[in-house]
Amino acid sequence: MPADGPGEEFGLAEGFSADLDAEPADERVYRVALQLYDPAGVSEIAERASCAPDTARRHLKRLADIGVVERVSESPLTFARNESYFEWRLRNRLEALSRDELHERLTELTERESAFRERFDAESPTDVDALHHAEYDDIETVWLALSEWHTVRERIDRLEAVRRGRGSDLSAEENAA
Amino acid sequence: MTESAPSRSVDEATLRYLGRAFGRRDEVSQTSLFPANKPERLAVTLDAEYYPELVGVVSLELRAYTNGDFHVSYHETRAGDRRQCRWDRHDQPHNTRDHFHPLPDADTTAAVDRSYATDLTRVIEGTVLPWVDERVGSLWESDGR
Repeated sequence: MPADGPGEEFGLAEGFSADLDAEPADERVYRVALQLYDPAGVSEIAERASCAPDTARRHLKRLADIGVVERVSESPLTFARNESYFEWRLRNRLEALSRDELHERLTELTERESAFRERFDAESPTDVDALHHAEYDDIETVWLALSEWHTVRERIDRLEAVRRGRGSDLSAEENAA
Repeated sequence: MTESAPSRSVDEATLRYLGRAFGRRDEVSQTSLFPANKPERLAVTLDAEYYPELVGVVSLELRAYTNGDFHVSYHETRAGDRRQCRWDRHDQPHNTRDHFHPLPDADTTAAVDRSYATDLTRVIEGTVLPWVDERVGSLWESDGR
């Protein structure tokens, strides 16, 4: 219920936390698996997912079979997020786009990339010395902008790869016809 | 520490997960993943019904990367004033990897060292959202009547 007075009804932390706790164990293990940027053992993962080690081990094996995580070592048994799986998923998402949608996204990103080039007067984010563009108290804002630029470039590369892949599929079909 | 661009990749899967989690809450009016001009961010707009009229927009912006870095910022407009603060995990020369940039403007020189939970989902749950709840409470105390 929205509040008419002091915000006792505003309980975002509690509700958010209750939702996460209410998730079934496999979902909780998946949530931790997403964030296994560094390899971790079964008991640590179990603790992060608030479940028993046996439960965590079972779900981790399943996630490893699908490819979401990879076994980093066997003894002790450790797992980490499998980056190539997530990259594959991102590309899959793009494969579902129509030719026009793909083109539209590329145009949008290319425009954004030229705006970054202009703003920093450089060809690529790695060419930029952030200190030249910021007072010290503002340096993180510049880093964040450069990070966004890097991301825009990654997205362009991924879209281009998908488009190239599709182009060769099309010519193969045309040849077949 | 480099002063050039951080080379890191956005963790889209975790941001999507968080977007769904925020989307389930009544206190959230909108979540938007990678909106125009914010190519790395999950933007979460809180429902204005929950805070005093003088307060315009309250929102959170989340960034997460596959090297474990994150930035979570809180934004608030109040009587035309913009305020923001930010919870960060990334290497830089001024503070520990985990640090917090306080209100009113998330200034780098005012940053303080922190130590957060390993998982960003836990940082949101245990650090960011309790702070937001408290902030909304104090907005009522100063403007609510």
